[in-house]
Amino acid sequence: MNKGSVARNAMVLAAGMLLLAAGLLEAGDMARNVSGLCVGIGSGLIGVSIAHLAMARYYAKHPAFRRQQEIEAGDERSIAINNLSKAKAFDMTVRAMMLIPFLLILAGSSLWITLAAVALYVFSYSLRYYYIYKYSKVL
Amino acid sequence: MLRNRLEEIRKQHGIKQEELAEALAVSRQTIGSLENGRYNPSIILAFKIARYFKLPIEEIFIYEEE
Repeated sequence: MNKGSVARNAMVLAAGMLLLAAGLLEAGDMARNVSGLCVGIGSGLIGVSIAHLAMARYYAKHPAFRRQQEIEAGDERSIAINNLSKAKAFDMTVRAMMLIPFLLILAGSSLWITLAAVALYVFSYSLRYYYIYKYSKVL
Repeated sequence: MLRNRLEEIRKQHGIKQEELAEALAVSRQTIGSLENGRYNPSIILAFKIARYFKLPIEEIFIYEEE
């Protein structure tokens, strides 16, 4: 991690702390849901930036480990395994999503919730066919 | 089907899997998977391996009709 990245993570950490403080103190009489949102986003930003900063510190002390991590990230077999597992997970998720509208109908949910579940299913397949079209042009 | 002589050639050169992996910037597991035929390399990795051992690619990777 370079100096720019450390500075960026420090800024994200500061922004996270500000958001968390604003959410906890309910600055400016903000609505309860906005305050909750600030606490959630602030906590998330703090967690992510601290993790990145801790990794940067660890990498600086252990360059061999850093090199190993870089190799792992660019290793073609690891990438192939990652892509294969994502494809499998997509197939299984989409199959599971086919059941959700029927379960919602059986549970007597509102029509808009059932339609939202169907829309999510259609969206997943639309994205898939978009990328098939896109990559068939590129590859 | 793709067969390879990677393990044999690596041992002839007296190189450990870790050393070959480091030189090719891949993981040791990738070298292990290549050697036992579980994984077929990309054409780029195959060329890198051939260049590393200064051998023609077809001396390391052998294509056989099924």
